[in-house]
Amino acid sequence: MYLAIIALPLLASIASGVLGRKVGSSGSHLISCLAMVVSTAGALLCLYEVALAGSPVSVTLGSWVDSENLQVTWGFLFDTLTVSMLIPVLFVSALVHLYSVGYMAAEPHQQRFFAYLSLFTLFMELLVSGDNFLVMFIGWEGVGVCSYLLISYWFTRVQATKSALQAIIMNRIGDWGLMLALFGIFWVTGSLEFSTLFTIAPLIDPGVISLIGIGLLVGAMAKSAQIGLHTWLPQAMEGPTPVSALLHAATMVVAGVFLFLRVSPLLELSDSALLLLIWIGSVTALMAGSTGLFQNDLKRVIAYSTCSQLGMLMVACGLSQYNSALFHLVNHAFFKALLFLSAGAVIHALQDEQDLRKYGGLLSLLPFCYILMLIGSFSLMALPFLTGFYSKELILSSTYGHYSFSGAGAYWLSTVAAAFTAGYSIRSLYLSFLTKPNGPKVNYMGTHEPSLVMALPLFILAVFSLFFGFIGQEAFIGVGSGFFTNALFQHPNHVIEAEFTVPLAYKLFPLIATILSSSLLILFYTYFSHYATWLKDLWRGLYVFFNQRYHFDSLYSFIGYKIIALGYITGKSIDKGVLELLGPFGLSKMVTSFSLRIASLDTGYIPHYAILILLGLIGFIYFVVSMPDPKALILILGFTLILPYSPSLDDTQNSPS
Amino acid sequence: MVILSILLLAAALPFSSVFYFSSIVINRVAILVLLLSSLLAFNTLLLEPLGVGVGIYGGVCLVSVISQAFDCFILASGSLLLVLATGILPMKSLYYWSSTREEITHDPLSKLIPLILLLSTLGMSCLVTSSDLVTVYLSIELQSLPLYILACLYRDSEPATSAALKYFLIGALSSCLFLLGSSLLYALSGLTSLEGVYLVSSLGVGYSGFLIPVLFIGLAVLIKLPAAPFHYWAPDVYDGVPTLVTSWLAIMPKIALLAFLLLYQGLSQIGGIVVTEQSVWGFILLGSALLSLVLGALLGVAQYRIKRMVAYSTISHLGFLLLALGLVTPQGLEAYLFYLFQYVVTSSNLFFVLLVYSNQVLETWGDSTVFLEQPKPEKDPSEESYWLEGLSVMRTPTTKPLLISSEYNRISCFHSNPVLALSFAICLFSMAGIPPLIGFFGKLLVLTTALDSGYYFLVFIAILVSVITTGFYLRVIRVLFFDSIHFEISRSTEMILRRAVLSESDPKPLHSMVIATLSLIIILFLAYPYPSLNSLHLIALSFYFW
Repeated sequence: MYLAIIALPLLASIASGVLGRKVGSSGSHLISCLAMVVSTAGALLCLYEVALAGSPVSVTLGSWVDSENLQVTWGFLFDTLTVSMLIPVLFVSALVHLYSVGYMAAEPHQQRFFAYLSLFTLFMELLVSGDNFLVMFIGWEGVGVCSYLLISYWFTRVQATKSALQAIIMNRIGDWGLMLALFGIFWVTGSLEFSTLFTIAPLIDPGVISLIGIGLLVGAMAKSAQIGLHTWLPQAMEGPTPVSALLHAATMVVAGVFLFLRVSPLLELSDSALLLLIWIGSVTALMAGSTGLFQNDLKRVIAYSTCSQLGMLMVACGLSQYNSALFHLVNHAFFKALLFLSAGAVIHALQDEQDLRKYGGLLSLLPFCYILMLIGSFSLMALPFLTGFYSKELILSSTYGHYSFSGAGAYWLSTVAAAFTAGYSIRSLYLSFLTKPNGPKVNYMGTHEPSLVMALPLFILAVFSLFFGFIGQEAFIGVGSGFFTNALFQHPNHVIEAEFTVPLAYKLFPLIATILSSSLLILFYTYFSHYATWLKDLWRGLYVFFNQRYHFDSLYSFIGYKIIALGYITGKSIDKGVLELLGPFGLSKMVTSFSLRIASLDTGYIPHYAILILLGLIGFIYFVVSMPDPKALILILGFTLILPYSPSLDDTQNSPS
Repeated sequence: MVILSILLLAAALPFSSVFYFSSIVINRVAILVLLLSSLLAFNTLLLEPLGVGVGIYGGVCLVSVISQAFDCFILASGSLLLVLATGILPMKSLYYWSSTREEITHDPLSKLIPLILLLSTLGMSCLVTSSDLVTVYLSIELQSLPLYILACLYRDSEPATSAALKYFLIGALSSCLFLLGSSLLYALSGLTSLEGVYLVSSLGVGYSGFLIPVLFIGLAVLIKLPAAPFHYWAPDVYDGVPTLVTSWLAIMPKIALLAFLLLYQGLSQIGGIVVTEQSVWGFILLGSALLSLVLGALLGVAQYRIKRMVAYSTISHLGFLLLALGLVTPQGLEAYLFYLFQYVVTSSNLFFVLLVYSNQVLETWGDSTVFLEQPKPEKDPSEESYWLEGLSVMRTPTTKPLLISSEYNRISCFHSNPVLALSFAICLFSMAGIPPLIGFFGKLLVLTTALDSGYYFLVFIAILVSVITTGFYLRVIRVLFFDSIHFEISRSTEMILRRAVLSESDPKPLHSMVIATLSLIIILFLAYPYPSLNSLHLIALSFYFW
């Protein structure tokens, strides 16, 4: 069963990718959706066996790399962490497959799309279930490739290919960091097995662990879109909406966080890496939140909200609250997928219009979508007793409960980020559904609620967004829960007691900030919306700064341009200049000219030949006779070297034979 | 047997017009004769009785294992190279455009070829067994004189005759030196037998007196070879004479002379002559090897005519051979023998391919040029290039060397006959020493033995030089495979050209069989190298330790 979970997406991918012509588009729908549903059912059984019944499973298929000092096996490990990841991955994947059947109905090349989706699911499973770094790394790279392929699914659009390129380049930077970390791990432990590493970890020098941790951090920053390497994520919204929901909200982007959860036994031993995580995470949360408030593209707003939530996850990892990080990860997967998919439904209904400024008045036209988006947004804003509330509030109060400068900083940054989260969620809801219609009439002519095959996944996700937090809280974050037997490790010094020690005011403050900012925004849009332009002009610079995403893209283009210009110069003057001159071109030229010079001795005139031959003869004899005295050698060599350059011989080179 | 058959053939020739023997029949007889003689030599290759060597004819000849082996090898390669002469069109057709095939087959000149070659082969096989200065000289002349005749076989062609004259004059120069050396030796010791020289020199007296004549003899052989400081005549001669003759000149005398050099080195103990702890002869050989390697490779780069290029590559290969010989160790000898073997195989193949190409060119331009353009009578037809509506075509009868860049340009040779082009490429790669081919193992053996003996500088130079030679071999391959027609000519002319090239591109069956066999030997040597390597090992051991 465990292998079937992994094999089914692969088979589905092969069936719709390689045999796409045979099975047809509806065949590929059927095969891939069925495979996903069966895999999801399998994952639920796994959840029961591994997590609830408490028996982790390890499967070894065989040896992969079997060299002198590097042994790598095709091994899979199903512990609680893996299974908890499998649930959102397979669940959302199955629902997205189902949704895509409706969403992509009018597209050509659907087999290709479904092949990519299933392949992505396979790689994601490899990523979460590998029992050594190399198998995990295959998954890591594989999801990157699938992300590239899916973003550029509409490959005829320039913007889509550009975004895909940006995504893969940013991810390469992260892969570089991750590879350095892997090399470090292999250098220190001589193995890439998780179990070996975690056993040895306490004996390793903390400085080395910090270095490894920073390498992992660079990898995770790119994959999970943390500040600096985040620019690809909003760009990735050029792909189809189901892709955004599956890859760029629910599963792939959390791979970085998953990496930290997986290596928690190592990470716990490095305080500096943890500190770095807290700060990077909280700054990302704030940066993404503030940017999200000023974006006009519906999907981009949600993308920035994803970025911000990923920052929160990083903060939780940095605080060593791995269980709450995992819990928030799973919850986030559900409500963010819901948000994306319902946004996709809205976009679909409005003739693929994504600009929020051209929305409005959809409440009466798309009530079902409104309800779904409302549930998703409220869950994201962590309003009480919805799914997001149980994890997000805990993370926020844990930051305070860290009782340190970093913790306090993270608390305030995250709280402001939470306020921003509420702000942009309410803003996009308000602009889409509540204000008066602002779009062209033609957009509204064909509005329709999603079809059943699209509505069903939305409904299921809505249910999860409402209730999963409440159901799962005891298992994931309950005090003394035996859910994560050995899968996650928390250093005894890093235990945070947030429930009783944190003052109530600090616990409630994020919630109050959330409610306050949303009410303010509603008030503003309802009564003062005519001041919007005036305000925008007042703080034009500020607006442009946020709207242009902190100018990260311009900066990167600038740097990229400079590097390419430098590359042109070095390529021209070093590769094609100096090296070419000293290397192939110059050398061959030299040999040829030298050769021509010597060839001028071939006059074709027999007396010349006879003289040269006799000279050689005399040279040899003289040389032999005077061998005890090596000065002769120099004389003769000098003579032979001068000979070809003598101009008198050059003159005769063209003489007839 | 060789003598007998020569006599028979010589007797048969005058009657050929009466009994209507065709030149092909004579040629085949000659081939069979050589093959049988080679078998005989192989049969008498008895390790036990021949171990020390048996003097025959009153001591003027010495038959030993190595001389028998060389004999066998020379005769076999002679028969192989005679195959070249079978299907070839005599040159007459070039000069007299109306000549028919009938006339060609009964051209008295082409009937002479086998006889001349047999005579030369006789000289060679005598050379490897002779152990007296007189017999040595006589057999060297015996193998050279027919070649002088052969070189100027086509006496109407200016380059051929000038090349033949050069060959003859330089040969005479070398014979002079040889005679000078021998007479000095005789004057000093009163001996003509090489064994006598050995005995006298081993007495340990009169070293310096012996040194010069012995060196003269050796250097005379080096001039004939042609090793580097004495190589100037070789490219001109190889270039000037017909390809058929070139192939003979480039391969056969080399085997015999190199064999003689080896025997001479052994018999006269010249390698034992030591001045300040350094073997003089070894020193000269290594110096010559160094110069051959460098000059052969460097000069080859500048050549644009393929036969000159082959000549220089030959010189470069000679460098390797002399390097192996100059080591004066059993391993060196083994490497030397193996290199010689692979060199003969590879270059015979090369010449076969070249000859097929030149035949194509010949037939294309010989037969179909009739209606393209008649040669202008006042110019020598073998020399001039004709301008034909902007198309520069070098007229190349076989007396004319193949030009790399004009006739291989026609319809990239690869397309007109892929298998032939591939065999050519294999040959060149083997010469360049690309790993799975036989040439690589030759170079490998030589270089490793040289390394074992500590000649690091020479090995370094040899490797550098290999790179350069690879460069010019690759140039030919580029032309073969990638260059296509550049010229712009009217469509009708092009059609004629194409038809001509395509229709006449098939080599003769016998030729193609030989090319195929040799190419396969070159490629598949890797699969079963033991017989040749083991026998060479045995020969080398018997030479040194018996």
